[in-house]
Amino acid sequence: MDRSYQQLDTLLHQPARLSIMAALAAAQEVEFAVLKDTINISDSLLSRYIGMLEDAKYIHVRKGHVGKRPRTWLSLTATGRKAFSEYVETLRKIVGHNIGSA
Amino acid sequence: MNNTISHKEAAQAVKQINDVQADINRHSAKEYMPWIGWGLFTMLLYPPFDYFDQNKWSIVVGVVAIVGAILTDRYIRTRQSKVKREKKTSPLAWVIYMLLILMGNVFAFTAHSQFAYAWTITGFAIGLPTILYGLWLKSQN
Repeated sequence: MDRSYQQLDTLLHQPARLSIMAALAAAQEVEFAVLKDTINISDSLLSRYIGMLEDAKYIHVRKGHVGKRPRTWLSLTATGRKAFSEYVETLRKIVGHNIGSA
Repeated sequence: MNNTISHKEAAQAVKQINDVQADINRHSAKEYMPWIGWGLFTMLLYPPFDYFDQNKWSIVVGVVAIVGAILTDRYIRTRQSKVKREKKTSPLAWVIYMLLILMGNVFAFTAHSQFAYAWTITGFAIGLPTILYGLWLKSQN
């Protein structure tokens, strides 16, 4: 069964961006380095995708320190969580089985 | 550009989501571990009070308790700083555990002169439910 791409959020319909959203949906907040290790892409590409998702108000970026080291934490906004849920719901309909919920 | 998404492509996306979320879960704090650790603490360290000098053994238990508390705090804080998840353990659970320890210690200390295995019974009475609670938390992951 094929479905139109228009039913899917085009911003999420890209493997790395989908992985970012999936990772953030599984937690309240994820550190940049953990996200990078999980998704296995370069810093620059990850930063670029984060920028795109942040512009769409899907994710929130928080900067801080652990000891003296600067850290960046990322989390889904309510808008982002809703967009991801809808994307997953569409996939669920296409595949026809349950996905581990966010 | 192809304007369709196939069943296979959707299934791959589903697998990708599940894999990524499982990986994130692996980085998060395992809340059950401290509970199992503290359950073992009472089960293993209380019975020797029935056999050894209580004053000397209490120093060992005290040191282990302090080191355990520091390690528990560091473990949770370190993991939470990487992947923060909603805590499954209510602070009330820790309060109940501390009250059990306090009541158990008072009971064992006073009952020890009347029957020989007061500390062993107390250690198991506190430790077993604590470990079971930890295993229950693990099953919720």
